[in-house]
Amino acid sequence: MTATPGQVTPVAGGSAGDGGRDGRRPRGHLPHVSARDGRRSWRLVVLVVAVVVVVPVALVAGSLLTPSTQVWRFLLEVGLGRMVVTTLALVACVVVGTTVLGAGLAWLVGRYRFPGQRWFSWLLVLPLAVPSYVLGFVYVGLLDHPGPVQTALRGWFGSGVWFPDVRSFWAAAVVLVMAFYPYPYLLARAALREQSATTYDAARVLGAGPLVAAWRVVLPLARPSLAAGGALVAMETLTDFATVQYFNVTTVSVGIHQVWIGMYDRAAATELAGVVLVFAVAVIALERAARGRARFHQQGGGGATLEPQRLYGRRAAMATAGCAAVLAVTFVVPVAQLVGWTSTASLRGVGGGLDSRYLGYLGNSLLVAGVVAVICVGLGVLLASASRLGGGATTRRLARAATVGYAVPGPVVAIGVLVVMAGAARLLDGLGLPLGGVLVTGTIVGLVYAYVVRFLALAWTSIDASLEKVTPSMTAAALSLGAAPRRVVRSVHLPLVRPGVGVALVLVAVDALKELPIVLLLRPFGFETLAVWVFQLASESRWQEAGLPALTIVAAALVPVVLLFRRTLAQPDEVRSAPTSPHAVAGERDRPDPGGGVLT
Amino acid sequence: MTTRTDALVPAVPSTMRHALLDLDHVTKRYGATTALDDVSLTVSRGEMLAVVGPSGCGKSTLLRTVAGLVGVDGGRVRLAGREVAGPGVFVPPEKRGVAVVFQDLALFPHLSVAGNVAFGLGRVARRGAGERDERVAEVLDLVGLSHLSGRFPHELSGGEQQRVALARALAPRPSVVLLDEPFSHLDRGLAAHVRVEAVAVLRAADATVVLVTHDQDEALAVGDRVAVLRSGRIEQVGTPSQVFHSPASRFVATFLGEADFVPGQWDGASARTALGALPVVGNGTGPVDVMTRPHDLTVLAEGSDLAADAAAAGGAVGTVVRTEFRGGSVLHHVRLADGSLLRALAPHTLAVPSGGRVVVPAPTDHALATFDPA
Repeated sequence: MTATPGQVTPVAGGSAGDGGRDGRRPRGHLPHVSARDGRRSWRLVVLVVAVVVVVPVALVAGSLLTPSTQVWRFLLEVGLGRMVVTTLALVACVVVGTTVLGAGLAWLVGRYRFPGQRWFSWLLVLPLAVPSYVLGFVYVGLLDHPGPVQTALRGWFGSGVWFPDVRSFWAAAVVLVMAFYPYPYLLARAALREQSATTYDAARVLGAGPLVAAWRVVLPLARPSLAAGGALVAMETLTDFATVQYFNVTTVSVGIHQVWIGMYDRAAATELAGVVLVFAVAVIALERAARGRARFHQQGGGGATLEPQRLYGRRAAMATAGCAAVLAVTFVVPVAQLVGWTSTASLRGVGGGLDSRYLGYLGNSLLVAGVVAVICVGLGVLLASASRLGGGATTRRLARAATVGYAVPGPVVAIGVLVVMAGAARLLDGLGLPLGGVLVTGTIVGLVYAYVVRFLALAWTSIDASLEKVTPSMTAAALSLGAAPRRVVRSVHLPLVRPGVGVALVLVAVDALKELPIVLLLRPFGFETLAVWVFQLASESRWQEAGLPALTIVAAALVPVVLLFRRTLAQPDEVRSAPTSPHAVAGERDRPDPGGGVLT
Repeated sequence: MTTRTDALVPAVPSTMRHALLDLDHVTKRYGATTALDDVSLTVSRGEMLAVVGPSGCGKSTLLRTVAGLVGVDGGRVRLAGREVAGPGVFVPPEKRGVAVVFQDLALFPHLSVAGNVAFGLGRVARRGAGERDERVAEVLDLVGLSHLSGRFPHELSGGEQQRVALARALAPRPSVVLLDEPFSHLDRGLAAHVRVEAVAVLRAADATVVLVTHDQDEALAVGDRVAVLRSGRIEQVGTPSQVFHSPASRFVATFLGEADFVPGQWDGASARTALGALPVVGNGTGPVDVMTRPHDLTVLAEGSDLAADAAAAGGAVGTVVRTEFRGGSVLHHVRLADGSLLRALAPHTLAVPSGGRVVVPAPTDHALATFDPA
């Protein structure tokens, strides 16, 4: 090459090309031919994971585009119209109810000081540990005709005493509100904490009274969080088909369960799953619309959050009593009742003390949870690292696509996986391997697959949040210091995400342990987990026997709730990495070009 | 410090000062935006090149193409004669032997100072622990941090972190050290101090350096040469004095410092303007704009003897519109009789308040840059 030391003035125009210099390369430095920035293999990893995760959902969506008139006629006969109306009404009621209750509590706990306020601040998330299918059967058991409450009432007022119908739409809605309000509560709480006092102060200085300032500044700024919370609740409501069955409420998801388990009609189940998917897409669209175009990022004002106001006298007592009542109804009473049932069951010897099946089902639950947690966390680390090493917006978008499962209701994922597995079975049969049928119905492969699709986002969110500590320049620095990508992952990324990995393992394992709809649809014949057992016993009104497995699930679910939120609610910065807000990770990570660019 | 350099200098005869880094018609696009537009540059061994430009001018992209953090869409990048980026060629960053000191320093928070510095030296198995520890000690000694080798980054001050980043970059004996606005995260006073230290260390290591900055003063103070970048194109490359005193464009003139353009007419090798006949670079005929910087000019309060002399010698009469206090001197915005505005520095003892009548004497001590009228 021609060395031109010293001055070089810019050369205008001209094309690059002194031609014919592709011969020898210095030793050990084989350039990546035709690869530009980024690395193929890492991008390929992301692509494969994204495809594996997206395919089941895509197949369900695809089935909507190729409808079969026969199937739809059947679906209309079994009452699809009624199911759709019920689903819409239930989602609307539960979203409104949870948002009002959750945001109200967040406002109360975040803006005021009253006795117990600090404790309630995190105790109010405890209901997260009580799955709705547990909460549901506890209240049915308590309040239904033969239950202790109505029995007592009849004792006092005679047998003709009026009591609202427990197995009803409204009771189902109330139970779901009680189960899901912590989501909007957490997000609204985080939004209030993130709001800097300066915005509120600016409104006050500009002449707005405290209520006007709250209405015009605080609430609009919290809107994206409220929308996200509402969307999350809507997804959970769409996913659930166990709880509502206690109350004889038939949503579309219940239809999926009945059509698949009752008739093994995969075509009909797929179409129904498609309907649920449409609901889910509508929810996401509504959330986007509610969030609006505004970004709601707040500038500066670090540390100074809204100063809470002290309540005195009757108002303080009312605040404390309100929080205590919510906590009692949603957590204390159900847990106490479960304990009661468990002890009476062992006293009366129902099932002969500790049911021998208990340990076996617990083992099954732990097996599934463990396998799923390890796979999800492994893939999560891979995705998080690859999207940093692979570079490029496409890789990042693909990585995000791989987390689609969290925004898709469980039954959709389950039916999608069912379709994929059936296809795989046909393929294996075609190849002369008669394992196909066994693969679909005989193993937990499908179940694990569906769980990975569903919970990958959970693992990825937590790992990615801790990888945020690894700035893009840190990865770049490691690379330019000569570390190969694998060494970057091992020596830089992994040591820094270790806390996130631990959290992710616990989160995914516990969520898999307490998950019910997917396992009901996909479990191999005869494969029981604790959650399945609880549902079966509760469906047969055998409350006492359901007490122990339900209590076990609640105890396990308490671990991450206590570990995470007790700490995060004390540290505003980490609320964003809370597992309940997959939306929190949607922010762009691109660093803006710094520097003032002062033209004198 | 300089006495230790012999151990650090790569075994290259000092006579071999050829182009170590060579950008040859490099173009880089991000979607529809062209971040680098046909950029050609060379950097010699041991040279410090400062690349300066406003935000978004492509200076960080330029650095990233050299480091291998992004590829190029056209042209070639050569390092020590080896093509590292070009048509069909892309050497990934870990195989380029280029060190980068990032704006946020990007120290590894889980590694000690020594661990950070040793990171680029590869695993012990390949080099041997002894050699590696020796090199770590050597580089830490160079930046004066030997006593802090066991500390973790968060236990260090901003200036110390800066030196760790520098030591980490220098440890593997990179062919080129790239600095990406490495002082901009420090506050102004500290930045100047740390910069002087860093430059001394880099000089001591005889490193070849490309410094990217948006700070003109920094570029002029540090660079052996300065490249001014604007919208992905190189406006000018030259020594600090060349780019400052003989800017190739009005953009360079105004970006590197305060500049005013006084209209006038060519008169052979000088220019006739409202300030009188001015010595200028070059010669020509017809209209011309002459660049003046505030320190080229001064103001004299009308009525003094000096002012009278200056007026007699062809100085221009004007009115002070506004003043800015600059410590030792005061910047005067002066409106001349013909309506044009000029900025002139005067010692604070000779400052004239707004509204005061002044004479601006013609600057005659050095030739001024000229531009075709806009």
